[in-house]
Amino acid sequence: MAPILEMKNITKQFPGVLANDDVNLSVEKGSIHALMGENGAGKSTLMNILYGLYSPSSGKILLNGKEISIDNPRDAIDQGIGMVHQHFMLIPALSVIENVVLGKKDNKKIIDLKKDADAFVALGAKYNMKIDPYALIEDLAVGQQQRVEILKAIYRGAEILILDEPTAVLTPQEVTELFKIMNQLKDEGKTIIFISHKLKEVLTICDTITVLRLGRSQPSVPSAGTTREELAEMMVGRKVILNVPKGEYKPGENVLEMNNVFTKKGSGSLDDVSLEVKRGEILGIAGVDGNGQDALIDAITGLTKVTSGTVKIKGKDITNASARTILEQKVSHIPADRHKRGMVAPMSIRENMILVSYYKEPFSKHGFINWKFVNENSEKIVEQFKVKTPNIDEAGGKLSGGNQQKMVLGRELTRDPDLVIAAHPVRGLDIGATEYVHECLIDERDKGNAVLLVSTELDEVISLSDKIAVMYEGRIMGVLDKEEFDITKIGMMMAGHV
Amino acid sequence: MKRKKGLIIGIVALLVILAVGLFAPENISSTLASFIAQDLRIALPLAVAAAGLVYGERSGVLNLGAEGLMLTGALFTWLGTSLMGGNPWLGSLLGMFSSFLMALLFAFLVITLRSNQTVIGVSINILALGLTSTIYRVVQSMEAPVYNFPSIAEVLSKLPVLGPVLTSPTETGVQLAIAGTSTFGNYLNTILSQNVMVYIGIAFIIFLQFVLFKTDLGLKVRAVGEYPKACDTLGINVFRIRYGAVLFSSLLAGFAGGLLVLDIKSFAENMTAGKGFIAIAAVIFGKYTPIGALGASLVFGGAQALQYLVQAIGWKIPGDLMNMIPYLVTIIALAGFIGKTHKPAASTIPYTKE
Repeated sequence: MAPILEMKNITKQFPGVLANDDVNLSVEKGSIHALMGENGAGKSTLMNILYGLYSPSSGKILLNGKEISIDNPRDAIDQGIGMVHQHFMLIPALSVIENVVLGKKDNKKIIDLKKDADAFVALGAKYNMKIDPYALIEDLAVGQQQRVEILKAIYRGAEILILDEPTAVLTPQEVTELFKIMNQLKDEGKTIIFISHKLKEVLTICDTITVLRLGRSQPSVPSAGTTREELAEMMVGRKVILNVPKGEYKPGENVLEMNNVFTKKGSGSLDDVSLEVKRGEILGIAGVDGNGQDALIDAITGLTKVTSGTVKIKGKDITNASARTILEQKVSHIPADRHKRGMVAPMSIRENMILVSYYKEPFSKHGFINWKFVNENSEKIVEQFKVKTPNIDEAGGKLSGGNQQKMVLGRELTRDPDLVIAAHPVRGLDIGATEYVHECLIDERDKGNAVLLVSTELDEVISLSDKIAVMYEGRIMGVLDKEEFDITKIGMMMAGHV
Repeated sequence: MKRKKGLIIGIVALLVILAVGLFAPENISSTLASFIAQDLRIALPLAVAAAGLVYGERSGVLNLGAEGLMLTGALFTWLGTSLMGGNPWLGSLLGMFSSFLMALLFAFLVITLRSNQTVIGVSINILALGLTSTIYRVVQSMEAPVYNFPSIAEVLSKLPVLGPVLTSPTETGVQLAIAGTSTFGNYLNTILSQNVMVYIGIAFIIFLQFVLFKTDLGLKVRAVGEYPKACDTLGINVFRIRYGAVLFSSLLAGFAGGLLVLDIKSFAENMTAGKGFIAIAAVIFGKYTPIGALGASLVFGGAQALQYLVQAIGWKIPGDLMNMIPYLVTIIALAGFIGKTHKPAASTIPYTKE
């Protein structure tokens, strides 16, 4: 079959960065085509060129064998190209249907929302999606918003649908749902370009894979017969250790001890949680997002009130102590949401590096910050943790996700912790960065420190942990030893079956 | 549901006004009638300016320079009217055009050059104050008669057939035919015999509400003020919408400034005296809708009309204290009684196309 879309010799030069370097991409009609690559490999740039948000420095785009020019998103939409951005392009304060018709070319001057709403609901029904067209976007769950985005693109006549990291924001169940929809679209003859760096997902859902590395495209490979290891190597450019080796498991005394802890009632509150994490051990917390993981971390780090029960660190009762008191017990916290809790995005790297310790010597003396020491220390951490940045004065928010996480990791792990609390430490990170973060956590464990790892990625929990505690509705369903790790069993416990 | 609440308040208010006219003794009804007439007269410029500002705000541009635009519009409306033999229509056109030019400067600075909207808005006010005062001192001597827009009775009297039925002549001009028939007739006449712009203005504001919420253009304006990047990915030109909204609102602000001049038939330095800011407050108090802004303007206008009411009743309250009332009401309204308003998410944030 002839390719529906070809991008030939695409080069995009940004000031100082060659984002796409002679990239070639050929997509068959009616296929799901993966576009893979590390963060910064040029995937988004390439797709933004296809969608008319950027114009290429050179190269051409062929649709059904005919060369076309796409100068802005409107051209792309007119040519039947739709895009679902990683950060949804939906207006929270408007209703679903208002978002759907916004900017549509064939709108009448006075819009008949009812007519569009009926047509939209009918379209949704075709894909088993029930969406209230008059609900406000801000009242919808993330998964639903994504469906609105997909339907919106199809409603506008998209034949080629670009999905930019669509699974990054979804729970495992929602991912399954999404894949169903994608297969249905494919059966109808639509073409999907699936941007991802999750190896397993790509191998599950896609037909063909094109990998970008450092702005250059690698020859496409069929998904059948390709292994995760091969893909990872194509993306990173070297052999990647997907399962980081660990030293021997030698548990020491308890560092963290929780006894019958309850937190204030509410969704995801703790309900009689008892746990212990020992030196030289990684305890993984498995569970579907929203089953008390956040409350667990907040209860340990002093960010939520414990209503009954005790939390002890190295034998000292720190129940309801202030966050600072707790952090001073050599506790490091790598928060789930870097932007909300891990860093201050507009502040420079060196300022972010001292968020936890600024008040202590040698970082400051008599209330004055010792910038000389702070600078040297920040430079050291940036180098040690391989944070890619022009200098330490760069705003933290300017860094890529992986580098932001390395910055947070660097700050927390250089504080010489006894207990490391890592929540979703690789969320949104690419393979290279993920590998690095995992190495760091295992290194802490091998040094004899305690690590509490919270993650919704079951594979991650299983490969890193020495023990796994499964959470469901704020309770610990059970703690499993290494030899009991079994995906089916853990899955059952995650769904509330003992 | 929320929008219904405003409608209910409006209907109740109308019923109360009607009931007072029908059943209250004459001294009370005539006091209320003149209060309402004053309120409408004072609220009109505020409402017109605020309804325009709603569009700017909805597109994500907070125009703190509204005061300056109104003042510029006021001077040039006065100048235009004076030069055109007192014709308020032509004068208003010049006023709107002058405000448009001022807003073009504002829009270029905040939309294209992405300067801080607060700083530029305030600068526009200072610029306008200096500019209008200077020009006024130069051209002051050109003072020529200025006429206001015709009253509704004057307009109706010119209608063929219906004219004589709806209006009746008086020694100085015309009045509505209902006047003089009964106490209630007098009452209605006082309320209804307004400058024709009150009627055109209210109709236009309702039209603006319709455009904002029921048309493709209105949807784009609202969307651009919430999430301009999303609009960009849908092929909507964010800059064009913002320029359009700001310049359109400047026409109304200039016109509103002109209304102040036509009302007193002369210009005075800094005659807007904070009305531009009150109009901005009316936008917020009116929950960023044209009709809401109209309602808010009536509340603020009422606060000022209260001064005349108090004088009429004969209470001895120092004038300066009375002058504070509209501003005090504005503060109280903004502080406590708006409830949950949704401010456009991208308000005051310049848009950068990557």
